Amino acid sequence: MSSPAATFRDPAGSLRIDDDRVLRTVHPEYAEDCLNFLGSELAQSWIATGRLVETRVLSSAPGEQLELEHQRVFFPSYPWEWTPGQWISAAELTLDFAEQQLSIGRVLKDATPLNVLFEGSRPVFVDVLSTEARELENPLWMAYGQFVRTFLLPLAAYKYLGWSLAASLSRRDGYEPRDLYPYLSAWTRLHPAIFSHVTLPFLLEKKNGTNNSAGKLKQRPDVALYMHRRRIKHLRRALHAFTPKMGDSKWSTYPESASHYSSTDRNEKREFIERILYTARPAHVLDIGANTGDYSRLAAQAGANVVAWDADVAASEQNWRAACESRLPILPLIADAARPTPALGWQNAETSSLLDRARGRFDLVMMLGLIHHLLLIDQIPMAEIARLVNEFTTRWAVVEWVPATDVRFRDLCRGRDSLYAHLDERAFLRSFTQYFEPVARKPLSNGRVLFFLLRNH
Amino acid sequence: MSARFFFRTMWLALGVLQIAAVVCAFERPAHAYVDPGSGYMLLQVIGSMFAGAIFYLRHRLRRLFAFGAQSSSETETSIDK
Repeated sequence: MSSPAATFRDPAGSLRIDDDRVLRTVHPEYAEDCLNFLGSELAQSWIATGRLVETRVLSSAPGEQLELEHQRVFFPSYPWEWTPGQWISAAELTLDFAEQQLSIGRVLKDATPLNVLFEGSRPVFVDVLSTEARELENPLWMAYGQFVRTFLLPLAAYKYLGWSLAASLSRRDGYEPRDLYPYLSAWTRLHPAIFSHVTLPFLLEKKNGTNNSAGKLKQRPDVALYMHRRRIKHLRRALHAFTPKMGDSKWSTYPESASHYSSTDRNEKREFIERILYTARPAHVLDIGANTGDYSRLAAQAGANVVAWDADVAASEQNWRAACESRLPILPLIADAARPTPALGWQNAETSSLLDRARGRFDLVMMLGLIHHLLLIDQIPMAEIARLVNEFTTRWAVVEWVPATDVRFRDLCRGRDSLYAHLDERAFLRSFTQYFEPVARKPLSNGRVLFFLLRNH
Repeated sequence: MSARFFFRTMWLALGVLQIAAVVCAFERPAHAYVDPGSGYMLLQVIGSMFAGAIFYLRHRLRRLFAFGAQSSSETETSIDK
């Protein structure tokens, strides 16, 4: 089925998802420039190293529109689902791309996080129309303001004001300096990177109004190039200054502090999951409630491409860092199965909802140590949880049942025992066997039970 | 102070002023589909003035203190790196 155009703001062309294919149309007047770029050594080397999306020309004729097909990134993600480290890595990729464009007489015409997706833990630049031939005498970068608004200011707001990066969901074009300025302390306003990117632009706008007198300067080409490079160097410095120091959270230290798990239980659980992964050999695994990614890494080591959801920023950041270090194909996202990311943008069609992206995309879904949170904190009925797992997987599921006697279950129950008295293993099986057949059952000595489930049809 | 040094310094100062004047000269409006942001655009213009002045200043200083071995283009290339 063909979706409405997923992108349409760029006058050079648009992108649409057609069944499983990602197709881009480039308008005739921009086709030659696009082909020039795709044929350049820079584009080829970026594609070869996986930093630029692989692109195939479907049809090209002089004076006609150009049709391109991109390699589909397995699980599209959006900045509001990224950890701080993923933001920094997407920003660095954008600046690297912008800098290298300069040496071939080109420039990035837009610089937003939406140009970047993640393939596993690795950022990929996906908008091949973001580049255009540079006017060699123009020292100004028209996308400079957009880079600051959409990358730097959300990171600055996160670091200095504690504003969640997920709030970028409601800010397609990022923050303006006036959004941050009133909330920053006098001292912070003078911090060099804040002064350059918030205080000074705010004061300039206040003095000159927001009437845009955007102009072009004309300079000798070598001077213009020097100015472009110098600007990118300054942006890198600001990015470094806005990189947040990640602390621990309750959940990021949970695997070490989980006293309800003895080392025997932990080892048995690990062995059971490992055996399942090497038996089922899934290609795509969804780890819901992944925490710091212990089991995501097991799945990736068994050969799967893993998407790992967790609502905790610090835990997901740890997962992402570990995936980068071990070079495992894991995409950690800050996502809550009970409050999934909605579809956004014009006609709710510019970005897809988390559930739409996940439905039927995985051959194994893991839900370990999460079900009691969904039942008691989010108050989701058991049948609904089973239905959701069934929607995500095409074949297998591994679910950890947490009984009412479990210390964590009791913590979350908070005296509402009678309300949840009906939640037992039989109720669990009644709901899950609507969709799955239990293949293996592994009780642990702490009372928890691991189920390996096969989809009924 | 030798007359030669005086004239070179004057030449350098005039050069910097000339650059600032050239840098300030606006051309036609730009048409970008992303919002360049008025504050950021002004900031870029001011930043470009400084960067342009630094570029020329370094270039002139290098020429001033060079012993005639380096050509102008070599100097510019090394600045770009």
